[in-house]
Amino acid sequence: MKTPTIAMVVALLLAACAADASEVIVLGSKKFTESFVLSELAKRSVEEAGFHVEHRQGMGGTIILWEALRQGSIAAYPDYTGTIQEEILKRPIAPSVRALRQQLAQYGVGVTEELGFNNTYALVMTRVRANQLSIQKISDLSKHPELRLGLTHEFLGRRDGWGPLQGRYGSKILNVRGVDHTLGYLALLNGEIDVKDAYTTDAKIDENDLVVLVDDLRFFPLYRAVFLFRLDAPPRAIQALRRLEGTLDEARMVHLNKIAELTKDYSSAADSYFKQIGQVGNFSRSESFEHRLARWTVRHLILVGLSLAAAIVVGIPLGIYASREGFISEIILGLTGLIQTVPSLALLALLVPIPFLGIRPATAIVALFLYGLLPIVRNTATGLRNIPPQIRDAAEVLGLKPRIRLLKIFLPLASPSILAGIKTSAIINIGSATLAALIGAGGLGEPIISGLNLNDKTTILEGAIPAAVMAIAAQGLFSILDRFIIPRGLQLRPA
Amino acid sequence: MIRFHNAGKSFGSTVALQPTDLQIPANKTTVLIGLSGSGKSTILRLISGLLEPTTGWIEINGKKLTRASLLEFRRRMGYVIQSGDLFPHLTARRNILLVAQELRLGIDEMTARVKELCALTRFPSTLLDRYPVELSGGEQRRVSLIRALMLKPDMLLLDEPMGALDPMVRAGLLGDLKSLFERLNTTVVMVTHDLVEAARLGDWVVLLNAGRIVQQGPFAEFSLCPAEPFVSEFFHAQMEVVQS
Repeated sequence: MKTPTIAMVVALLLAACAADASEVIVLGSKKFTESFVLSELAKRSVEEAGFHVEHRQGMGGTIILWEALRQGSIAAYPDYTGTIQEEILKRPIAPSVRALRQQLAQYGVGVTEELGFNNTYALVMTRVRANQLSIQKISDLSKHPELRLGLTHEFLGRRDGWGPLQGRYGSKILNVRGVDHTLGYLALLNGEIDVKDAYTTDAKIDENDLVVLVDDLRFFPLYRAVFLFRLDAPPRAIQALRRLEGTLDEARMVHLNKIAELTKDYSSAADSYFKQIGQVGNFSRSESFEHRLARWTVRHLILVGLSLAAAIVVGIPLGIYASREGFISEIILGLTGLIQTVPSLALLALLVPIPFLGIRPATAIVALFLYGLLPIVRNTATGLRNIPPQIRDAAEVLGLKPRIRLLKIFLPLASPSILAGIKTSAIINIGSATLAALIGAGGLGEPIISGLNLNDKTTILEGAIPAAVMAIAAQGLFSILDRFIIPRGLQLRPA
Repeated sequence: MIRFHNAGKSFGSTVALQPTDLQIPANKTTVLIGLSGSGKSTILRLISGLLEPTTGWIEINGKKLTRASLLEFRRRMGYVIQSGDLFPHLTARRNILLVAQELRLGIDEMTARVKELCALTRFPSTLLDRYPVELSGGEQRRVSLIRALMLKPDMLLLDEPMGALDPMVRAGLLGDLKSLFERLNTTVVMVTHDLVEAARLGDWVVLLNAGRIVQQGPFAEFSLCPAEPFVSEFFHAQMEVVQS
């Protein structure tokens, strides 16, 4: 009975992977506006070369994209020379494109020439606050240990980020919080923080007249934008990518970022780029809202449905084991409980480096499956444990075999509890599946993340409302299912 | 015939039944009586194999009761307890037929047997398709009896079958049990704490106290020649409750 169960789960997961393995060029982008825009440009360019292109937006940080590229889940993504040197190669080499190309070749990864702009990290403040404290340079920060800093999580953790910077400049600021990049700008403008990290090409700097603090000790390396691509990608696709080389200076990039943030639409930024270089964006295919919503919803349902099915198939037998007294049952309940305590984002990040998973929907399904286990296992075990002793005695003395007892008596009696577990699991998964977009698995999380990036409430709601509706619908659906699945004798009230 | 050979049961340091020798006669009704915790239910649970003795062994019809032979013995046992032993998710009929269906008995045979048992226990067959929750306490006990008797058992074990019923229902069921036991002519072992039940139903009465048999014999002997002061105390206490 166990082997077919496992085989079924594997088949489900493979099906999820197979749906993803067609002959399209997949591009990735990091979770910030400029990266979205660059990949959108690359998408247009490669599409024009005759390929079908899929853009996985906002897949998270450098390491996730690098792993995805190495595993072949994506064919290319935009990155910066300083980041490649510091975060990927972790070697103090001169970040010339040529040197990087030599180093990266051993991983089967190629680098385009510079796209034309340098987008380095910077620390920014509002002009009012900077004037008030007369801060112009990063070294001025050490005179004001009372400053409140809101830094992105990536910047806090990087080798060229806050820790080493503090070492170099010798500042002793303690009030440092991790804040999302886009939300950090809001916090800065509202005066909730004094300093934040920024990319020098952020449109927000110009828009809000922010002061970029001078890197007087020359701490930040150069971050020249390039595309990383797989050397085994189709040569015509690589060629199309390389057409973007040297076409973007800083002013132009700032402008494109601004368009993206104003129009809340990355493809319109791409339109602007191609208009400027004389190619009318006639291949721009703006998807209607209904179509997008349907695509997100279907993908979301697939993520939740497959993971829930696997959790049911595995969770109920585990719950049956766990209902018995003893050591193994403690281990089962302990482990499934432990999985639940790992934050969902961390679980995704932990699963990505595992072979055969990587950056693809299957990884999200595995993560959701693991999350879905606990309610089902626990409720199955509790439902079985709560069966009254006189019922157990009666079933035993009647001379029914253990398997028949389980199937005909104990499981039907535990069915209300088991169904409640499945319901909890489904609703948790509908919520958690929105995080799947971070590893490019799509679903209703796509508009939520892209909306967070653009600080656009409408876009966030495009994902959040359908997700909430789906959770309520699931609740209703299970109430109806209860009536059909729970034996009638258990639903009656005493006369 | 059921024989206990020095059979006893302890849970850790708590003795539920001291090592006991006991013979339960075949085709008679034996009533085990005593206060709660006296060990009377333990005897019944040892016979049904729900408990294993910690000392000695038990013999049924000349064969030793072991874990391996348990299933075979159980198919020849009927077991009824105080309440809540019916499967709530099955109708009365499906409760009754569950084991017979597992054994793939013929439908005609099963239908005839159910009809016969409904008459014997005075259970209206129109109620067979109700769920346990839709039946009264007395009706539930009758269904439990029919279920226990379905496979024509060699012995019928009853653990306080009337314990949870109100007095009116109880009086009715008591009379029905009396005539049922007479007509079945099978080995019946019944646990109760009620003297009236013991007097009316028991061919042989076994009085227990604190895990030990105090006296056994026909009911009349208990008041005529009590074996020790506890016997008289037990009888008088119950009579006082009845009179007050």
